[in-house]
Amino acid sequence: MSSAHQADPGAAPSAEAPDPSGPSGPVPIIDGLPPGPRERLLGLVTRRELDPGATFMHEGDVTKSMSIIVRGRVALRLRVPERGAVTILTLDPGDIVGWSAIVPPYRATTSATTLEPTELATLPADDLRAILASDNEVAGAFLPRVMETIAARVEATRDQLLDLFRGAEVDPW
Amino acid sequence: MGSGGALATTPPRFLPRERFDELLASLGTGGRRVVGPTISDGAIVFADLASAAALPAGLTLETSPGRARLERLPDGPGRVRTFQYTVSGEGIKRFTFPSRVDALSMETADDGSVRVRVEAPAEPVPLAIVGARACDLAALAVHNRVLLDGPAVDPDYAARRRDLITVAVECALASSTCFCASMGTGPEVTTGADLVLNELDDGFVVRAPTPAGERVLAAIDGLAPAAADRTVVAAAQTAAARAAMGTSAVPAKPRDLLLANLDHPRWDAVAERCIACANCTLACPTCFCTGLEVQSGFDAAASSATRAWDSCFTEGFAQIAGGSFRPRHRDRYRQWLTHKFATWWDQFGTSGCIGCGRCIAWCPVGIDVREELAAIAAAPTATPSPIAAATTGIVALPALAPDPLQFTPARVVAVTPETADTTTLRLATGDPRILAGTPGQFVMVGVPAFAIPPISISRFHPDGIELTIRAAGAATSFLTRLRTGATLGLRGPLGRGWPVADAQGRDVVIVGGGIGLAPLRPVIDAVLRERDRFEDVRIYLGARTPRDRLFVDEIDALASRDDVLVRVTVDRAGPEWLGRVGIVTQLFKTVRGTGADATAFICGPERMMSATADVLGDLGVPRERTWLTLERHMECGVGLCGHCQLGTRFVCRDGPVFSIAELGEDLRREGL
Amino acid sequence: MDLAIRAAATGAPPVPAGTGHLGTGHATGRSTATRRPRVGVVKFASCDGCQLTILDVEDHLLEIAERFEIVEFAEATSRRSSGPFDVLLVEGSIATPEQVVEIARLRAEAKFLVTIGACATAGGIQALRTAVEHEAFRAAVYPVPAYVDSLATARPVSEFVHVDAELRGCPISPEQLLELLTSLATGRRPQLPDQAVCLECKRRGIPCVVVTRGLPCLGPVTRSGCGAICPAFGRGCYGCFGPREGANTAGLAAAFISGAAAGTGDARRDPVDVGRLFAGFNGATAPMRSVTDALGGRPVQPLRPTLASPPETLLPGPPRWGEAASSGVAADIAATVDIDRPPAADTTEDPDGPRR
Repeated sequence: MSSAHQADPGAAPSAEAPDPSGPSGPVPIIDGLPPGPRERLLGLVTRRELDPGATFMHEGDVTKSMSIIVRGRVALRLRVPERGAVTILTLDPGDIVGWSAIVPPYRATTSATTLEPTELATLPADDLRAILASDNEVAGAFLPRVMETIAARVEATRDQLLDLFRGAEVDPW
Repeated sequence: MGSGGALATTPPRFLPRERFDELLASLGTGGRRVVGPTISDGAIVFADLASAAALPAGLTLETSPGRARLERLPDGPGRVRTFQYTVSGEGIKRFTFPSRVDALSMETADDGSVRVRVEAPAEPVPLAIVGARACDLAALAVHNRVLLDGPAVDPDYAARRRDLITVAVECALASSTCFCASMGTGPEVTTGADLVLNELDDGFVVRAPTPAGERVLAAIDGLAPAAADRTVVAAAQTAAARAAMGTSAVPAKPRDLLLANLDHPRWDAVAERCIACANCTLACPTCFCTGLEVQSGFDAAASSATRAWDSCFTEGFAQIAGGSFRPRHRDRYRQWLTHKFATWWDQFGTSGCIGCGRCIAWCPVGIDVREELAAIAAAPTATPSPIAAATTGIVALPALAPDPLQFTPARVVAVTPETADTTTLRLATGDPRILAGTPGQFVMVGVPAFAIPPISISRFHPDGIELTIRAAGAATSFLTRLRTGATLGLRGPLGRGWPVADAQGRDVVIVGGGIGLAPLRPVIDAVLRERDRFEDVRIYLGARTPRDRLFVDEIDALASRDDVLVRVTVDRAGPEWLGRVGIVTQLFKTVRGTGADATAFICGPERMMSATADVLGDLGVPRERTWLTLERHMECGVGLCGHCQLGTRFVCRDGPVFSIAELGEDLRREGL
Repeated sequence: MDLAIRAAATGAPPVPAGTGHLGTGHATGRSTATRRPRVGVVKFASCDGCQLTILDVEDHLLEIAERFEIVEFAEATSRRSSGPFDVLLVEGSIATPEQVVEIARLRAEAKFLVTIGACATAGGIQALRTAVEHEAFRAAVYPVPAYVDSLATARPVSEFVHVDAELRGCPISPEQLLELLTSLATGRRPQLPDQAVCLECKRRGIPCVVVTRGLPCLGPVTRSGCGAICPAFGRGCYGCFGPREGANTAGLAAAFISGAAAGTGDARRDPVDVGRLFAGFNGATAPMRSVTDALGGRPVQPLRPTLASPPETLLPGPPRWGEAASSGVAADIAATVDIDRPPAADTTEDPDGPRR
């Protein structure tokens, strides 16, 4: 479907990408933290480049890492036996994938699959949990940002749940 | 015609009681039908008046909340009086605005062509109404404003008003439910009557404010002028009625009071008592809301529609396929009271209430509007709702084409299924009015035997239009199953469309959700036709699933242009969809830059439109340039049937396109 | 058992959206049906008055018989059929175990199932009986009660199977029946507005009996469709079309008790009398029952031991409307009913009689 593959014509480069910064390129969210937490978290970051169609998180598996999307697009999918895989959300640069890394029971609630060439900044789950438990400054700076992401997702999910575009049940009359 | 004028210039006469039949005879010359108050089933009812003997002699009407009883007048000389009461149950509305009137006839000819015709009103018999009160005449004047002075004229009402003689009687007493003096409509008759009677024990002081009234009197031989002492008694009677009522039955400035207290707890309190039976609206002489009842035989080839009295208290009144906008009795009672005392001013430049008190007497549970208003006035809400300044009466609108009630035929030349439940019909029509429509306007679509839905025009062609219709009920389902060659009737174009010209020289943002893309497509057409007149053009679209997207090929083509930005998202999808999934606001939430120079056009479910407007507002798009289009229950499409009201507005006539600034709080108010 | 029957009873063939009509053709205005729709009329626990109303459509009956093929209608024709039906009109409430089974079978045979009348839509007057009364009646009336197998209470059809449409009333209105059949034939939505009877009274110009005469009337909480027959004849509506949407029966009852709606000025009505008003043909529906439950007034007649022998029912003549019978069972019954007794001091003049 051509509209799905469309690049973004007409959009200035600065329209949607964050400002470049950081040693190996920008990392959304972390770049916005105060210098100390920023340095310490960047130390945990590994960059990954993924081809389209790569599933890097599987629903139900132990979450190995939390990722921040630097570039590309990621689809979150749920397994619905009668329907196959259902994409319930796509995420863009600046979004977090795998908040379950820091929320018990630390298992992925959805699968995550790339739809385009994608670059992720990944934080290993164990290391991330450790630093958040021991380093109050990092926790105090990072967790609110994670909360914002999740809160926005909850709000959006509620609207999706309303299924506003669904037509009314048509009476046979 | 009873248009009246200043007080009579000819002196008042005196008509002895025993000569009243001569007045009736004079009124009845030339076959004029004469109606007046009679007794039926324990009530005063206006009916054919054969003679003075049929008048309710010796009776008065005791009214209080929930109660209207005929009582005998006490013994004495006054016992002979025949007008010694105030308002009858229904007043004179039935004669100028009957409860059921033929409205449309629809036929399918043998060749399959469909014709929808407005029933020409049967030439009404010339009429004389005897016994109208000042409040009845004030109500008639209000109906003139509503039904004759608007962008569309009610043909039946206009016909009935053409040859009407009114003989008013000034009230000599006031019931406890009367409050015309507080509304400035009585008890004195100052306008709207051809003859004015003041009843005394032995006869009537008569004055003729109009030439028509003068002619009626002239046909009665030897009517003597009324002696001064008689006119003094007459005036004193009326003054006593005024004094009995007082003039402060309702709070000052009820409009501002009600519009500032739309969330007052009193609405919940009255809703416990209100049984939403609609009696107040049907007893009220100024209420004008009507609905269409469709009849047909088993063979749907021929059908007709009747215009019948309707009421905002019924569940179906504000209902569309998706549900009802006023589900609770509380919402409906608030709608009625605020319309009557507040928003009527914005719509018509007068109060809707003329103080007759019928709604009080004829409410089976005895709710008194004066009490309700007083309760709100006594303890207004601490945080008043902001009130828009009153508009000065009827909004100046582009004149609707001559006779916006007429249907014009159109033929289906192409049928394009868009999704499982949505189909686009391409219609050919030669009607220049429809072809001259603008983006955002709609048409009423008529086929025999079905209800008549409003459908937005989704594209204009030199020789016709396109309608993109979602099967949401029986009528729209039927339309989506029409085949090429079928004909139907169109009425329009109606409504206020998108202000596309205003967006010239600016950025354009178009946000469409689901079927909401249909009314936006003509905007996209118009912008692309003159692309260089606009700056940045961005189109953001949402749909339920990839299969529910409208105009897929066209949108794909648009997306590949480099002078337009197109972003599409769906609520959920299968794994074959590689596009975006999520709510439509996510498409532009993180856009950099400012919207200060943008005009936005938004269409979709109301909640989506509100959320979109919020996000665009955060991005700087001015509220005066954020436009959306509303959907409401519409039956006439021209502001006559009353169904589509939202606060001060008729969505069909003042909209359906509105700016966020215009709508203010009303968009978010529950049950408005 | 009821739940199992209900679960199994969804066997009606699925109806594609928007094809509510029966293929009699519309777009070209000509009937293109290859066969007439098969119509059946069946009866459960009822008085049979709704079926009679079908026959009462007089001239239209011939048109109906031309358009539809009536394959089962015991009251009208000896032709019998056990299905399948395109349209099945069902009268009567479900009151015995055999009926529970039969309605499930019929549901599977019917494309459209339409319940007609208060019994089928709301259980009817018989739904007012309680389990205890049911037992008492059985024991008192039948010499061998074990031979009589009936459900504890009569239930509406919709509690057992999915119902596609309902025509309310006791009996139904012939106009609404024609509207329903027309809708089936043309595919449009039937116009059976859910509004108060008051709208019909006002459209017809009938003065409100509550306001002008102080008569208790359930019109404000009752669904229109009858054309406001009873108020046209000067008596209050007794709710045979059942509660309308959002019926505020509690509010109306309160107004009757306080006198605001009785129009008796300061005099209050006995709450039990008011409760009894709501215990009528649709008394088992929630809005009506909630009032009777709150105020009392269920029409409980004590069973008299002399029912074992022929009761004293010999009256001097037929009971007259509004007048108390002088003796016997009729007098006992009449003594408990005061719904339409006119006010004592009636000063109204009524030379023309009822308006229509």
